[in-house]
Amino acid sequence: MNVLFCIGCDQYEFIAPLKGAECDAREMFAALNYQGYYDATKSRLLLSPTAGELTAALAECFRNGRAGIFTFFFAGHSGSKNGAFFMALRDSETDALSTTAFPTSRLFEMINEFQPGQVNIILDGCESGSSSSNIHTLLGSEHVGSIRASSISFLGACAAGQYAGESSEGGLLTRNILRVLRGQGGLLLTKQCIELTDIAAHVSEIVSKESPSQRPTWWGLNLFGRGGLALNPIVHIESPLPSLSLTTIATDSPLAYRLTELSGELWDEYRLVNRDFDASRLNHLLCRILSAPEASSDDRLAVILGLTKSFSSVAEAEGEMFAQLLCSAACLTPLLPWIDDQAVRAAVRRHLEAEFNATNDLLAKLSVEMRAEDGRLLSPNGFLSDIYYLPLRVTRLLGLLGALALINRMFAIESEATLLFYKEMVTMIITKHSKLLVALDDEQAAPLYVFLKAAQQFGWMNEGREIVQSFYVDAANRSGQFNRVNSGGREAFNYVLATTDSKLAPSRVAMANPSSLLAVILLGGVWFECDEDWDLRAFDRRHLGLFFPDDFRHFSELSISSGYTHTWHIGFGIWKTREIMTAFREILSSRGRDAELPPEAHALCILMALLFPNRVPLNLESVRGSGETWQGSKA
Amino acid sequence: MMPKVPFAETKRGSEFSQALFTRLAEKVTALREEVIPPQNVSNLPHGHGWTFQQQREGGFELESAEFGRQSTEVSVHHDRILNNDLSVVDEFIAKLAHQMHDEMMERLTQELDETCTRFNRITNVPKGTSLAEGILGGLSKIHASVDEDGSVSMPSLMLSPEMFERLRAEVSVNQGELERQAAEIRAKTEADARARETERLAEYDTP
Repeated sequence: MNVLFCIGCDQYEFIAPLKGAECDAREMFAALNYQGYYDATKSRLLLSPTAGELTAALAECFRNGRAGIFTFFFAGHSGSKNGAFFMALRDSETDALSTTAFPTSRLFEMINEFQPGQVNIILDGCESGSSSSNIHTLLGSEHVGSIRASSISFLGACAAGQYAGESSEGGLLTRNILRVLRGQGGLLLTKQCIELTDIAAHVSEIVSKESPSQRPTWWGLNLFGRGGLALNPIVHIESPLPSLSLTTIATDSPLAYRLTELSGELWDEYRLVNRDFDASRLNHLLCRILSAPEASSDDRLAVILGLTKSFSSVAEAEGEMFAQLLCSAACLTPLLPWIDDQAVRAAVRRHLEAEFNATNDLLAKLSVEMRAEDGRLLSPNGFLSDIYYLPLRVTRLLGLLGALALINRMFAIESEATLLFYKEMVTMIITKHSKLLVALDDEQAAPLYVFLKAAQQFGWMNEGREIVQSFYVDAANRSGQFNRVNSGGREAFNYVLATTDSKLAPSRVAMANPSSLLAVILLGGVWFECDEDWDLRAFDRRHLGLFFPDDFRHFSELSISSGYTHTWHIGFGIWKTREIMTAFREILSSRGRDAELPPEAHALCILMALLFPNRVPLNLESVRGSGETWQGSKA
Repeated sequence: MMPKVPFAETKRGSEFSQALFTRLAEKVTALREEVIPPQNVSNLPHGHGWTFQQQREGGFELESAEFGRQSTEVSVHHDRILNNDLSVVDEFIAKLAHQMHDEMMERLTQELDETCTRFNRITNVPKGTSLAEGILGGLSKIHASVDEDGSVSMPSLMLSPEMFERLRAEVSVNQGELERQAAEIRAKTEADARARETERLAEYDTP
């Protein structure tokens, strides 16, 4: 059962009247209820009600059963006081808002108590985003209480201290929403059911352009797959995902119960995504959700797609250029165990293609800026920390370029121009930052490996050779002693002191043992035929290690329980790089099953390597030669 | 707005910097403890100054002093970061710590000088006269204190390298006599210190 509440207030007993609010509410009620999307018996259009009448109508609505979708629209006077936001109704007084108006906190209390599956809130009034201009403030428990089991999408007409513009027709925000809902707003919607978050960004942009002093505020966390707002009157394109016909997850499904159980943690993650984004934490949480027993494949996919959209749309992690890509990757990779499902593969492909387009734009801009400024990759945060993290950043950038090139080929969407751009960026990195191609941390193993595989795949032999040679020289200088994976900033600092013979160095620093980075460097020497003069005495007694899971479909697990780390002890059975390669090939010869992985699985494994430092996507060994394996594999 | 960087590592970068400044603080503390024992270091986290009781001939007087800001600057050219010159970290800590220490020592001697001038604790060593005798004269004016264990804390002598060489030359010529005089002064200073301490403690018994 879907319930719609539209309130428009023109008539005020103690405040100046308005002209277009009732009209806005009427038209929104009709547009949102297109083809009877909302239950006619429960939905309400309230014109200039008193606060008491609104409270009574809401109480009546929630009394009889849980709503699947609850949409609340308000147009009228509104304002904030002492951090709380109030909707002014017929009998409200400006000087006594707390006792005569309707606070949003009251609305959230009702939502918390009755827990509709999806909640849409649209407020077209002055200062309507006042408490949500800062999402962390709005989502604080003082505003929303302990929201647990509801997906919530919010769109407010303006931010704190701003007035909501209106024309003779009605509110500026509402007019633009109506245009989009009627298929006239310049937004091409390809699905049958419109979500508030589908249109919020577009509408906000238009409103800001039409009225620069008005900045709408929107946000949304989708827990239960798709969150509906209204049916789309004009579906321009047939959905490429016919299997995703479900609109939302049934609230009594196994996955819905798991979502309800973990929704508090999801909201916590949502609050943190901009301030303290942690791919590992988010990924692990989503893996726990998807592991709900007896959850259907469709439900899993719907949940992940909804959450991917929710999280990535607000991911603007402080200072992180690729926050959106990393966030999407963290959300999509938990689907790896179900990657053989055709719908999952198609969804992954579609989302990644969109993300890659955006990432390519960012890379193009970065490339120009890097050419103009030597220090473009320096972080503005953390004093002197770039002495350690800048080389790691460069390695990860190489890994990203390699990943994009490889996945583009896997998905058969590569273009000569894009590949040339990636190669030119690699060349620029080598030219400008050759001294940053150094081996400090075992976390560099995965991105370096991905890059080297791409260099092999696309014949970037000179670039691959130069980079692997640079890493070898530096690794030999430090006797193959690298910092451990997942170490914090303090350990990194101690590592720097320890490796510069500083008198300040702590007596003991834990080094990577075994080291995947050393393994990748030494194998890279063979791949790029530059190991002829290499002397492994520099690494005497060091252990190398590479982990192979039994099945790469488990590659997204926090700790992969099935599989082996293959280790080699230099100076004890291994003295030459060729011997390492021989042993490596023996392992590969027993892994024919990796070649059966679909391209989307390879892609997700590569993304895991960008997200998590403790796994090298050796699945790429099953893809050799010129890339023909991937040709024609487009789903 | 600062441009965003790829793979920013903001959190771990902050941890790195925090570790660096912790190590810097440790280094500065270690240098300070070479000249000021930890028990003589006050920790005053609030306000803009402090009051204290200054011992005088006639008893204790209330004095006050203001906090002063100490700052020093060490620059690191970003080329060293771009060239991954790891030694920059150790160098930065050592340089900054020593600069801060040197500045503290400069202020300390300046403060001592001002205090000595204010309370007429100046001993002049006229040109052509013995430096050693001048120093002994100065030492004889010093009021030593008694610590919690009952030991008399004798003063430390800070000399410029030139003065130190001059003193060493004089001592090498007249070592026996100077040592005898120094022992006498030391015994008297200790005895005076213990007498004052006894007098101070006796105040507890005053009705």
